[in-house]
Amino acid sequence: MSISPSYRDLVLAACVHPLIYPLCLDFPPMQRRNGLFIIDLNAPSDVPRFLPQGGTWNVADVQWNPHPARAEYIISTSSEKL
Amino acid sequence: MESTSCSCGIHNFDIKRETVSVSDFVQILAYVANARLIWNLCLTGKSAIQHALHSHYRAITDINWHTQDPDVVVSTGIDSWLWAWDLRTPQKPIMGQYTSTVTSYSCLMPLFARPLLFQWYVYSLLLRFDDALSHPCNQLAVHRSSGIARTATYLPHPT
Repeated sequence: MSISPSYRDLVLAACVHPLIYPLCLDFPPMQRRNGLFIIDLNAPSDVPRFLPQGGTWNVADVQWNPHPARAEYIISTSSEKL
Repeated sequence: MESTSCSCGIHNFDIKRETVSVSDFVQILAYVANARLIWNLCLTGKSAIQHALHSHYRAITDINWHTQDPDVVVSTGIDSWLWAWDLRTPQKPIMGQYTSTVTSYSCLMPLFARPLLFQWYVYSLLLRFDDALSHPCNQLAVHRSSGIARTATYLPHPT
């Protein structure tokens, strides 16, 4: 999890491990997706923006660029090949 | 903040899109074990990948943005390599160093004072001046026990 330099948005990295993915098929699609969720703290109950990541991966870390001049950059790591 | 709406067309349902900063141009870097992907959300196709970068050959353990240069990012990994990339020249890393045979677990850049890059190994803390992300200036043996340090942080500057 990381916060934007303006403190307005949160980014959450989410993943479902491939080994347990078959067990999660009963969940709604939004709850078993791999990628980044961006939550607007001004409207936290709204549907978060979702940035999908294909392939099988496990998110290890995510960092929002702390510089306001480059607030559009987020970096994330993955521990598996795509 | 202005809010916009668009369809991302993923899995046949629309996803709300909001501007998250002063710009609605958002790039995402996804670092994989041996590949790094730069994502551009302005690309409207199936894939938003803009660049694929290759550096680490084993899992990355930590990433951090440079505190002085907003376009530079550093990462370290189980392979003990420390890599620095400039997003303006994503074709190749601007720095890559291999200084230890043990796993590097963390790389930190303090948000204050002198620009130092801390690289945290299993048993030692490596201090680097990041003027040019140059060679390590000091190495502290801080863990002599059998424990493994997996993360590090820094204290706030008193001023």
